[in-house]
Amino acid sequence: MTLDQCWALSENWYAGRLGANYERPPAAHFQALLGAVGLTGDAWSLAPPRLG
Amino acid sequence: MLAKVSVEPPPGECVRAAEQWGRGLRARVAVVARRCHHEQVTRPDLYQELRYRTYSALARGERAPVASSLATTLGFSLAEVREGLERLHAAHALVLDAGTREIRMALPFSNVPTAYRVEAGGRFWNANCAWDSLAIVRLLGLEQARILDLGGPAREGRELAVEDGSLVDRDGVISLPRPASQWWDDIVYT
Repeated sequence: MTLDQCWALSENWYAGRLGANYERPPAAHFQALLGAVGLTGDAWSLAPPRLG
Repeated sequence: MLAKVSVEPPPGECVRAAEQWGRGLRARVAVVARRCHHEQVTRPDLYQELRYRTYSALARGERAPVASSLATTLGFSLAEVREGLERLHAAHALVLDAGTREIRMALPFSNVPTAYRVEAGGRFWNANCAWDSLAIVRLLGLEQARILDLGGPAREGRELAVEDGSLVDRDGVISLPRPASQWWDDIVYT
């Protein structure tokens, strides 16, 4: 990812991390954060290689 | 027996986030103290205390406390503290060292020296990776900071500047060895 994307992500990725009642958000939350900076598809999960 | 817990805010202008958490935790601890003087402190309170002690130390630029120290400070047995740390590790709230089972990471902070450092106000913090370096700046609300990548065998070092709370130079890329859905398969490797 670009440094610009990383800087944008850094604002929200750990949001709430220091909260007293922190609970790790579900995967969809993190997928949305990645998607918000244009990181979709392989950024989350590499598709299996196509054979043949 | 209620463990005596001293909850003082971490010092310094750069630990604003930890202080906010500390205020919330102080209020909660006060309620627990009044209600539970002769009752056992619940496990969720122990988990919060373990996280608070860890993050507040790291936010101050110190090393995270070891399990034995936490047990002494919080008035729990070492076994109870270790159980609490394991539960937090399983929940991805902390990361324990594979061998010692002491705290290795409290993301985005690293409890061990790494090639990634954030420096500000005469203090420094170890980050787990380049991304976590940026996150430390955000989490601590640092207005002026240096972000250092000390480099490695196959990677040149680099320095970034934060001015007025914003990253100055944003050219370049950060490479991650695996897609996001697999990061926690081995977060230390990631």
